[in-house]
Amino acid sequence: MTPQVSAIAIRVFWFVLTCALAAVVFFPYYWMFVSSVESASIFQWPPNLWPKEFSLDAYFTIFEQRDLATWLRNTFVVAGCTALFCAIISINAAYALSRFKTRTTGLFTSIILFSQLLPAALIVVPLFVIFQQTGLYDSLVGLAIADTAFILPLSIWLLKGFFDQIPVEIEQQAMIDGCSRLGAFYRVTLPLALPGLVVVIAMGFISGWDEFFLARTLIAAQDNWVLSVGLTSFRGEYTVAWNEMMAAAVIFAMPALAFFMIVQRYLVAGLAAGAVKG
Amino acid sequence: MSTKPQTARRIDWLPILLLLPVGVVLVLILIWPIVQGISLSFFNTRILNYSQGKFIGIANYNFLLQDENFWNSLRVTAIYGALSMSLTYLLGLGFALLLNRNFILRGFLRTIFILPWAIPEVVAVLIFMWMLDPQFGVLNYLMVKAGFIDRPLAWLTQSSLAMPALVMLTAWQQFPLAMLILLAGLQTIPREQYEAAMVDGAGPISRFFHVTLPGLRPVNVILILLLILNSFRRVTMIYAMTRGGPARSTETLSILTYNTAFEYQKIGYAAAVGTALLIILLIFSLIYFRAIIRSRSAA
Amino acid sequence: MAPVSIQNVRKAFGALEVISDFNLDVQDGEFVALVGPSGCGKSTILRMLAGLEPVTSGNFAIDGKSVNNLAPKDRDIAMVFQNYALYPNKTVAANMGFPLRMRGLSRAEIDDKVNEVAHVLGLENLLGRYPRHLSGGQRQRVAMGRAIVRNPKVFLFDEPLSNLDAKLRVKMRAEIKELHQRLKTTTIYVTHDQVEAMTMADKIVVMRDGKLEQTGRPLELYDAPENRFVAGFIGSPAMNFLEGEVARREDRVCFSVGGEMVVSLGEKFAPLISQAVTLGIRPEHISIHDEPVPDATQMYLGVVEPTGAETTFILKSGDAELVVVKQGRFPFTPGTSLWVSFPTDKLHVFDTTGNAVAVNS
Repeated sequence: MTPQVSAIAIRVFWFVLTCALAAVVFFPYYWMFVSSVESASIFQWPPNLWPKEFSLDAYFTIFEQRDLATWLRNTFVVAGCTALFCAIISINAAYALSRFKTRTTGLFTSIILFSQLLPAALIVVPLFVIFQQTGLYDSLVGLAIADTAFILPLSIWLLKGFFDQIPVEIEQQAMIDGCSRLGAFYRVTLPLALPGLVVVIAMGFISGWDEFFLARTLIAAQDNWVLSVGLTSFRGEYTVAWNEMMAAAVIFAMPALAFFMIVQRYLVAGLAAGAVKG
Repeated sequence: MSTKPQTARRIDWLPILLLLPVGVVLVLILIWPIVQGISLSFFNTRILNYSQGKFIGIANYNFLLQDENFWNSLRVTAIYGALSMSLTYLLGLGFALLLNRNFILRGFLRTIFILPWAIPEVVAVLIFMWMLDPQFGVLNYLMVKAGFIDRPLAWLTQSSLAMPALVMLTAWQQFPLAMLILLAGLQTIPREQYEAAMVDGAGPISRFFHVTLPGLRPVNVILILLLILNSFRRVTMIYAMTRGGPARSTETLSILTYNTAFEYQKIGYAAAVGTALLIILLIFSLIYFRAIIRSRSAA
Repeated sequence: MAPVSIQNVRKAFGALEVISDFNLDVQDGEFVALVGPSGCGKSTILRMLAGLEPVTSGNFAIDGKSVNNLAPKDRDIAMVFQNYALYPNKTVAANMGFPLRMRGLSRAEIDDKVNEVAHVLGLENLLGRYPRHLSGGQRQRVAMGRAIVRNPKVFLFDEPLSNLDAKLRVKMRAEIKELHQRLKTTTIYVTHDQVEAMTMADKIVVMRDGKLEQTGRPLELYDAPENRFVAGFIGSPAMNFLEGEVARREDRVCFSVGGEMVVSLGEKFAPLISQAVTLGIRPEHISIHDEPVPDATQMYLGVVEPTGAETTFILKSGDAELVVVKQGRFPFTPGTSLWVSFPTDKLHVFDTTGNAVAVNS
């Protein structure tokens, strides 16, 4: 083999290997889809690696026989509220941390970094009691507030990175041109940080959508269940209808995946910058 | 005429005002509960008689040290931390090295590799429970076919198998985080170092050990600590999959805290377990932040 | 158009005082350059005047009215930043029109003014573009257009040319100066480049470490620097400094550097005898000869740098080193001996504290 041919062979080898491993990593996804569109034929040994009898029955069944519509609605409420709270709070906080270097902002930076590492398991015990005392218990908005608190540190940090990249002179120019301090921020800086805002909203939505632990602890009534809690409740049943479960899982995963695709690029970049630069 | 006070004060209030909402939320949801949690650990409190808890000093902690479940949980936490961190890291490193070359469809393949991270944890748990199903589970089938096991196993109901299953799920769901951080780390290693090593006659393997690994060192320290911290704090995945069972074989400190509070209704004692977890986390966090500060000052 | 007055201004960050008791009066229509090494506080003065930085104490007045308590937008100033600070999501026209929009002008009025200014600056063809599609010089011009368009009382420039390449810098220098001559708006221009200050300003303010060193017309500073710092800062290549002592030798007043190099001074330097002083002389004022002449000092040639129109020599003698600039071309090779003489009326004398010493002539 000439050097060129063997170089190409090596490249092909690596490419094929990467694709094969990607298939392995993707397999659980694949299996979720396949199981959701096969009817009772999923219950056999050996399992069919390719779907044999395509059917959407499982999807219809879960909407008819379970409270899926209610859970879906509740989850949308929680995720939407979390996104909203997260955006409003993060915008102002990230701006303050990016533009003011005072003792207060320094203290807040430490608090935010630190609170990211607190154990949720310890927090929920008193939080359960606090929520009962304040009337936030068993309320979707209350759950959204709790979800917001857990995602805030990360979203503020990411958004601060977006603000840091916008030269402060542009804002000062706007102040000279006729804006007030906050006016310059809302009229000039915020539009420039629009991608950051989208990321924060998407992150808030995803975290509110996915969340299970707080939802299980802070929500009681079945009418207030969200998807994550509802889905895990299938499990207690004597025989689990795994095709229905997987259909529900697909429905649950889709919005989260869609929002993730929006923020993927920024999340990856922000994460990388945060990890490498500290 | 001196006008300093007005100007100075006006500028100072704005950041405080802007930070007020985040301060309120963080204090209400994170800080205050932590403070309460620590103080609860000195009380004999149950959920039903929350307000009538009795101050019992460090009795909860005395009991903790004699509690077999606590020591078991400490061991489980350490094992889960070590195994999930190692497997997650190795998968992350392997895929990062694989993706850190130029080929067609690179962006698409990277997205595929990130996907496990994007899925809700509960969904990941459900998929794995189905794939590990003792009767119809496809993973059981594939492993039997590949000769890893003789017959389908009951992964989640056998105490010796629950931990491996949990580690498998954790690694699948978490390796993208490690992969992304390591990819970013790989990209900070200057090309010239590889070229210099090639000129000096180093093959691919010695380039890996003499250029790549040393270049990843600062990122490695931070990443490994982050993975360990995450494993200590992880609740959703473990709780949704095993609730700490079977026979407490996956009951990490986080899960023990939760179970003690909500299964056994012993809030004060749960707070003591949680506080022990908090102390362990604090120690690792301190090392973590020192590593971050050191890598930042080295840059 | 308005005079600007800065009185007793102090600025401190905590215990660190960066500006101490700064005073400056700028006449209506004057072009004043604030110049000094980086960190001397010149930008801080400008930013306090603009209202972007709180004032620790003292007073800023524009057109006779104190502006200390006014927000930047109410001070009727325009500022051009080093990085131009163009709004990246707005077109050139929208960038220039933004200050007018904020002042509530109608669309038609805004368009009129923007077009007028665009014409003056030659930006007509760029009005629809976004800043990212402009070259450095074009961005610079847009930033100036945005400043001019609303006809403010004062223009503030903060190192506006630092991000341009050398050639473009010279061109924009001339353009800004021409613009000022046409508009006659009071201008305060901050730069670390003394050449910019010399070529553009009516009045130069030299600063160092938060203090004002000297104020004056460009050539005043050049001809009569009040201290060694100003003498060294203004002029390029920089003034030569020789540290030594004035003494009487063989009945003549001489200057010796460590007893080695001896320069003969005139009788008018007699009052300085036995004092340690620093002698300053500009490179272009030194005469060089290829043979001994009366009162000349022998040195040897270290380096020759021909630049075409003029030639720079670096001459050495012991520890002493002199930079000399001469018009024309010279055949001297490094290592040869040359004789230098100083015209005594071009000498600057500084005492040990760095202050200029007047020599009666």
